[in-house]
Amino acid sequence: MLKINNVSKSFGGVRAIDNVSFHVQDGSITALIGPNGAGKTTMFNIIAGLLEPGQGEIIFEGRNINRLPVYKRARLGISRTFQVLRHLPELSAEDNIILGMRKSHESFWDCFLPQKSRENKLRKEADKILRQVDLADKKHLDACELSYGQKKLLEIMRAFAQPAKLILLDEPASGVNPTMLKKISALIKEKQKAGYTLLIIEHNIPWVMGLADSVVVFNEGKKLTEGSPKEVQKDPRVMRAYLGK
Amino acid sequence: MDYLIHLAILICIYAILAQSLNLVFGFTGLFDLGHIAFYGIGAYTSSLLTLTGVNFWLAFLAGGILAAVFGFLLGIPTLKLKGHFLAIATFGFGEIIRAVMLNWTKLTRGPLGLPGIPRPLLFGFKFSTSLSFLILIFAIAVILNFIIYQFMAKPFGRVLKAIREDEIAAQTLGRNTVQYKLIALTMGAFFAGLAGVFYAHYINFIDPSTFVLHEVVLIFLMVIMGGSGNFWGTIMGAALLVLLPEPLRFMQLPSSIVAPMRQIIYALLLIIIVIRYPNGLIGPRLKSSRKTRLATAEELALIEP
Repeated sequence: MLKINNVSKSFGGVRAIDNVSFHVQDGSITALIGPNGAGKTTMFNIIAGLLEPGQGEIIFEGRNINRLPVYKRARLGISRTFQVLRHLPELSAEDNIILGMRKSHESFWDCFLPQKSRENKLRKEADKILRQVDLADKKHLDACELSYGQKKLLEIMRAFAQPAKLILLDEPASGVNPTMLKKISALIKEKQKAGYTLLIIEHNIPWVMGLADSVVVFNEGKKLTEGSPKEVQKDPRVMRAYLGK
Repeated sequence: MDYLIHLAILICIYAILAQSLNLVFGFTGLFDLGHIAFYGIGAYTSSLLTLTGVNFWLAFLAGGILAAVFGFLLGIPTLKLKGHFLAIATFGFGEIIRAVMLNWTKLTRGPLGLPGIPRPLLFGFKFSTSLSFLILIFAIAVILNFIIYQFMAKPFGRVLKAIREDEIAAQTLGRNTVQYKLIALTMGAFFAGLAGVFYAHYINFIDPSTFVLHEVVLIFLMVIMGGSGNFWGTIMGAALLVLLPEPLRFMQLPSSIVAPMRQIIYALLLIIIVIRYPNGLIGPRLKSSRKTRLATAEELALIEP
């Protein structure tokens, strides 16, 4: 599905990503873990197209996407959430989801055609999606009026609503209460069953280890190791990276 | 009575002009400080054409279309710029257009302006009285505002709003944001051009001094007062700000004081509204403070290592 080949990225003199390679298998849940500043979010931004890799290549479904702009990568089937939330504050929760679904007729000429029945259908779909995370009764609120956890859920559901193949989740578990966390796990597993591939950055190690098929560990811009959750948990280098010496 | 009709006509013209800026700034979030230049391009184009004998309605369309062409050409290099850089670039554009109006004297007569611009003609009927002109401009204002409303209310408008809220998020959701911004700016320029046409053919005289920065301040004020991105708010903002300085007229002050007074009032109002009511006086008062949003929306994930 996704192959990262020898990717490096520097900011000025700082090498944020140093010659990293890993593969994300079709239909798998892959966790990307590592201490703060390890380069995980930078990696996400390179995959999604917000940053250009200094070196190396990003292969998505056998195609080099290094030079594609963000929106084209999204259309190819990469959807994502952000660590620092990027909901659309003054749009309703419903509109946030509908924008994610990408099913409305949005071209210039469509402004001159009636859209009501199509919009109503999309609203119903959005309602169903929001219902899964108990946000249906808040769908008319602006996204900025929701609580942090609700915004987070909204963004995750927006990423899930997209016609994507690969979903990148940046710390989906942070700031979410335990009940909702279970819900998110269920939703992620459901997505996997439906054939999606997921790549998840997470600091909640026990949670993500229970979810992932394979784990990639970053430390100081380099790939430390990768393997199944069990293998990685036994690796002494991982313990050291997380706990210091 | 004529005085009231005059004010009503100005309100209609500004309702078109401010709504066109609302589409560009209020809806799409593009800080277009050169917006008045499109108004000027529309005014000059149709004036020059009708003065050489071209039919008014052809000149009217030409005014809008030429303004739109300039909007499009301005958009191509500038729409990749972020917030304040876009403001500076468009401001520069506005100044260039004004300099052309002022200095291409062979065409525009420079500071002398263009006198004798004819009133519109429709099926042999000339809108020479104020009342007939009011009826015409009211109808035009309703039609143009209705068209702009279509852009805002349809899914197209939702994408524009998404771009205003967070352009990177909109891109991540698969939208070609540069293309949308280009359409919004081109359309905004088109409608501003049409407003300019009616201004010229109402006043019957134009010169470059109409198309200056304090006029930009005025239309921004109309949009911001109406609660940026609020369709009805912008129309009410236009009405309110046309009427607001009028009492000055009855204070028997010399005109050398009244004119600068108007500008001072507008400028002060802008400062007060931006500080106290950043979400507008008329539009719904929004809950989130724009300040915090701008802080998070700007750089964001790119900074995160």
